[in-house]
Amino acid sequence: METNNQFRTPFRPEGFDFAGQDALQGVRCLDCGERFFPLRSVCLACSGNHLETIRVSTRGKIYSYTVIHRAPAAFQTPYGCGWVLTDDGIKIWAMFKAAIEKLRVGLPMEMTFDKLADRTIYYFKPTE
Amino acid sequence: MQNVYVLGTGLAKFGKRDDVWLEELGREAGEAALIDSCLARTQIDMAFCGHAFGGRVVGQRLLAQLGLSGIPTINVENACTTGATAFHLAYQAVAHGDAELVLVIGLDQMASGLIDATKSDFEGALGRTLPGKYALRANRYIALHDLTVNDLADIVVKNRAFGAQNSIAHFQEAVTREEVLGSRMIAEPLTLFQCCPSVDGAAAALIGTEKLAKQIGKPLVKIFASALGAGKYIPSSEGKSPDDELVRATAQKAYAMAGCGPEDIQVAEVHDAFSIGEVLAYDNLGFCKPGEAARLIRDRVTWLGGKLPVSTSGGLLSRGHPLGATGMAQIVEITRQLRSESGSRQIDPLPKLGLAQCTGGAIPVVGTASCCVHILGR
Repeated sequence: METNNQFRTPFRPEGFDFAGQDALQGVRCLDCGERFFPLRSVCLACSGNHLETIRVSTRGKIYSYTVIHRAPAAFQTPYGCGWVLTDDGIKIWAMFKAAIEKLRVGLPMEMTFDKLADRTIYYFKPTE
Repeated sequence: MQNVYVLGTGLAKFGKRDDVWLEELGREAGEAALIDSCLARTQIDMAFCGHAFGGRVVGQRLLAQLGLSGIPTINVENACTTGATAFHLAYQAVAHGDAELVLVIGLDQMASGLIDATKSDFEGALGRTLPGKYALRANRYIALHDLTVNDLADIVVKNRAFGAQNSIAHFQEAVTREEVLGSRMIAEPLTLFQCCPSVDGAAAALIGTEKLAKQIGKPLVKIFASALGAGKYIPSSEGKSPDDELVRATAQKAYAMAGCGPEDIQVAEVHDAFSIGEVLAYDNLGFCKPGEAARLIRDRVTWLGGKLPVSTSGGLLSRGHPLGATGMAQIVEITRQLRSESGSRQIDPLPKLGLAQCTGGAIPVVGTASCCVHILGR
């Protein structure tokens, strides 16, 4: 019986690195169709455990945003960040590569990859 | 199910309390609740202790400070709803007839500044802070509805004015809108004064049966509703905020249990961990039509003298926010308002029904982890 153990290891915050990638891998529930990032082995919408991996859409719109001025020492402030609702319906947290005064709810964004300290992470930037 | 009553309340001074051990802080609140109730401590037959940072068996440790041992004790953690969750469990113990008199204490000693994200939290690893999450909720409300940064600042002005009349609050000075907006930026649009301080504190209550309530000869304060909710995943395509929906669902459960509606509430303590938290609470608790929360602050409905004063204790913004203590401090404030014990910030005429709401925890993808809504009345 298929148990989806291959999706058991989720995004590990302490060891993440997206070097060499041009999109994020997520999952889609084969029972209800809901899509998720990061990887998970059981669907949060219907609790089904039949999921397939997908390539998460690299485009979306800002659901909401902020500019953070006070953060843990690892982050250089200020930085723009927030949730992007991707075109395939996943709400993803991300830091932004954007002029902070341009940020607004509904702004079209696209994914990009760049360094955070010594690692590569995903960001969103305004679609030009 | 038995009726359950609040029989006594007690608070320790909130603020930087490195003058005492955590157990001693809890003892201050517990002794005050015992004195207030006029009941003998030997009558206590169960205890619930809420703390998020206290370590192991804080409840039993502080009971020993109160000269008590051998009392079944449950230690509770639920992030910012820790204290309220302990109260919920204590309510159930009495309602189900498992205990006649229960001591509930919520307390914590906290480092100042930002609370660290859980290690498994990928959003935290990518720069999300707790003020940042509330800032997102603020910017979305501002984008979709009629709300300004002046309205957010006025929440702080109102609550700090209440805090100035509360001797246990951490901040006891009133502030102006200009001072709020001019304080250091934390996460746009939230400035420092719009973020609750992380402080130490403890709050306690004794709750019990109707028989005990009638013995003590004080105004009866009955627990009409005790509702606990947990964050539920909502498909992003629905466009709804799971954080808002959790409070809406928990409030509906509480109103149904109490047999009342938001229009019947005359005093409330809400989760104003950040200025926007109180705005969202107005909306999600049904105190206004959806999207119209700013009206309550502009029309001074929620100020002293308005129809529904909110955060009369000064709220988390003045009192400070020791995670374990907050939910219990809200219960203490509502009880005292219903008993006409609130001094210069007492609501007149005496309210009949009061509500306490808090929310806690942030889980990636799911949203807010927990919510408690309590309705007390006389």
